[in-house]
Amino acid sequence: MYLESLNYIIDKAKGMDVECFVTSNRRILTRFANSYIHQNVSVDELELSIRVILDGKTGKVSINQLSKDVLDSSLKRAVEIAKITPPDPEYFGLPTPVPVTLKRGYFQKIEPEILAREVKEFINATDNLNASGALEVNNITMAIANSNGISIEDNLSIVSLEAVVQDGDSSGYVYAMEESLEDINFVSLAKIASDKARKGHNPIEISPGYYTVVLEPQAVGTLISFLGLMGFGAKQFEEKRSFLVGKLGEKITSEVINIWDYPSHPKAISLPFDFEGLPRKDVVLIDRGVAKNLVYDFKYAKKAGKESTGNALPQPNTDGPLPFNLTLLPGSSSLEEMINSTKRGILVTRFHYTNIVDPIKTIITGMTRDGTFLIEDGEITTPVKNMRFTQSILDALNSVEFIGRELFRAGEHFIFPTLVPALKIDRFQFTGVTR
Amino acid sequence: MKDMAYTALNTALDYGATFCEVRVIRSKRQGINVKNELVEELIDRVEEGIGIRVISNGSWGFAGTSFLDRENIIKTAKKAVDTARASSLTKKRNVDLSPAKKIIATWENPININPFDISLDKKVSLLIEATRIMTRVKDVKIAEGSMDFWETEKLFVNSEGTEIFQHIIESGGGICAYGIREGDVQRRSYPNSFGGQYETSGYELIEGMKLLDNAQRIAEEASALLDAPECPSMVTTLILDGSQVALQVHESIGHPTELDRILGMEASYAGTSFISVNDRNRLKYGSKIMNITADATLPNGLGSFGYDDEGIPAQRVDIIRDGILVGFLTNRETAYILGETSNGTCRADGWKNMPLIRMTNINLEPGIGTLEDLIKDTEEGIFMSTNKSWSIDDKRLNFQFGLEIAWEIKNGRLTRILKNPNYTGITLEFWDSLDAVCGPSEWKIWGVPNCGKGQPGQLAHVGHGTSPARFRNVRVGVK
Repeated sequence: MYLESLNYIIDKAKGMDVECFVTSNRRILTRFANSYIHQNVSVDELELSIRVILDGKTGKVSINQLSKDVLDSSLKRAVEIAKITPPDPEYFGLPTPVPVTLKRGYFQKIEPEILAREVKEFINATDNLNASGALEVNNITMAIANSNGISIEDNLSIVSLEAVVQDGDSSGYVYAMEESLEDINFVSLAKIASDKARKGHNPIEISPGYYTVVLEPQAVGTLISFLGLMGFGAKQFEEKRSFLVGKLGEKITSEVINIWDYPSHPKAISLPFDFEGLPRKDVVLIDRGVAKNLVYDFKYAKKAGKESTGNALPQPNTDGPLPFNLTLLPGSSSLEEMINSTKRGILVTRFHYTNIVDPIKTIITGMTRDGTFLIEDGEITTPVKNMRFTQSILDALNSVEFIGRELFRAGEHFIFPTLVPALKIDRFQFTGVTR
Repeated sequence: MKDMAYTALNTALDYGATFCEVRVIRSKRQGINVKNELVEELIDRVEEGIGIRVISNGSWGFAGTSFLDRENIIKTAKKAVDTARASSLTKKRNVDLSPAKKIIATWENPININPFDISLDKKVSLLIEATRIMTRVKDVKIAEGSMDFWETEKLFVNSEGTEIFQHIIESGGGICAYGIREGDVQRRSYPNSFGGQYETSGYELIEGMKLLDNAQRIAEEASALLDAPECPSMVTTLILDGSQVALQVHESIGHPTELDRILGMEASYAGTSFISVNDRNRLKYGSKIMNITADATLPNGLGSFGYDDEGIPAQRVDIIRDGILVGFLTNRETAYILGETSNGTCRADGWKNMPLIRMTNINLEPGIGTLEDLIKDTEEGIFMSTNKSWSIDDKRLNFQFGLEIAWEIKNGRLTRILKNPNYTGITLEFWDSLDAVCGPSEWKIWGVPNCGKGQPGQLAHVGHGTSPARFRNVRVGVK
């Protein structure tokens, strides 16, 4: 669909190193609050980037129009910028084509009324509780071409529902992401969120301190997604800003922990190539607690004498390669087993507004939200007021007692969804409580 | 632009919209990121698009497109109406808007030097030189410098006859140094973290920052932090620099006083607010010296503009007066619920988003004296500077902020440097502990270019006029 425009630019820029890509999205987001649709957005958007490299000097422009006039003038501007930019002594050229198995995903039918009817079904199934959330369909196309012969395009539908159901002073949360609207069970999700909201009234305040925690998958997703931002990229590692510096090959978590960048996992939602047009590869990041590998784009792979793992962001960029499809491999436990085996602990539905405190120590802070409960003698006994945690992720992963057997897609993620099970963690620090 | 706007407006009305507003936007952005004397990223982005918001069947619908041929604009206008009709499937009551005057106007922010007239070479050279100075300092392994410039042309028309054209230029920039030693990374930024300072100004902002004059100092501070002791865990007197007071205002006053949040419209994403509609003129938010305004009319503030994205003129309103909550941030929809008119805070991120209530310049009005006076007046405590991390709960009560650097205060003087400082508190208790705000000479409008809100996520450019302030009995050094 877009390769014609990209190849037009490549032809026009003959003799130069040039790479261009398009990302386009046809999106509807139907947002509801107080149990009615209050915002409803339907947008067609596109971004086309042209990167020209002249003797190691890069010029890049981004536009959102496809007319030949705009393409011509944008290419000219990219060349002008390249001419006055200092050269990058670490420019290794552009990648050459590597076979990629395209996904050729179908596009979800996207009409506002279809989404509104599903939202209505969700709201009705909450039995007059206060429902808020967003149902979103993204029909994404990505196309990349470069002067070394890469010319590749694919598409993907991502459908997600995020919802909070409130019952007075209490709330419950659900998140679902699929490639097809038909795979989301709106009634079932509404019941889960409503049930949790009804159980959360009159929360008690408990003292901050160290607790055993049972983290539902959405809470685990926050930990793993933040871990992914803090150290698995080759550039972060080279700049010594990674928690993995000096630790590759060493045990950094409990041996029950296995974390992959896992685009081929059956539940992964992903495109099969990165922003350089190279295939996404499975990468074992942590194997039975031992830090194993980093992820690479073309440049950092060349620097390390390796092959790209297909983790490039749009080039050039300040972040370097990052994992796209983080997956914490499942264990064998059920959530019930985790709760039943807990003498005294806290069940966390999700975390909120999490931020990095110390990236080298992997310490993050955030709040619990939408369902926090005290577990006593193997049973959930009472809701508790939301608590602030300040915790090293690696320390938490060092005291994992149980790993859930089912993988879920997490709402908090980078690029593509993180796949995570529930976890029981023996020692987890809460440093405050809200009113 | 006018043709596009009125084609969309007339199509939507003919197709059944009872209200319609259209924004046609052309924008360009230049971003430069330099690291260790190399240009790491250069952003040159030009985009245009149209956003059409309508009420039909008593509900909102919005559609936008970057494909601006007549046929597609007509299709998009109809899609906006269809989207509104779909929304009405769950309608509880009709959307009503508070009245707004019909306005025909143009507005542009005053600048001295158009940043797009300054050569790329000059900008890059300045940043390269700044990073060169910083990397000469011991243990500074990474030095970064950045600049960002935006130019936006926006035509707004609505079905009530308003037609406003605005031309806004924004600039920003800053530098930072990373001291790195095994197992420790310490950052110092100037004049602020996360890209520096941002204003609705021209290139004069960059020139006025004197980046080269400050590069050596912040690099030395980054290096010194590697040898500094950790900020101790205790309850103490805390003085915050103006840039951190800005973020404290942002998170614990700006967001919770947005009336859409108070009414539950943001519940599923960023959360709600501890404030209720009935708290106005009743809730004691903080100490008597606390005065908060929302002022979109301030020259050079990043949250300044002529008219918001509902065509409401920029305004200055009181939010907190003498410590008592007296106002909210409103738009036409939420102001109607209060029986009032909008105070002009409704803005959208570009053409492709529906406008929401966004902060303008939310300011802690100045008190008296200088920072030096304030430190002299403090027997014991900690002075913290420059934000590093932030987190607050979904009702905007329990917060925790991390900062780049702190100094211990002993007998009215700054003494040793402390690393990894942070502090935590509860919004109302914290603001009640405010006992000093520095005066106009220390007061500055800090720009925040990345205020996130809404679904799909929108980033807003907002500002906070603040000066250093002192708070008593604050818990610091959370480990």
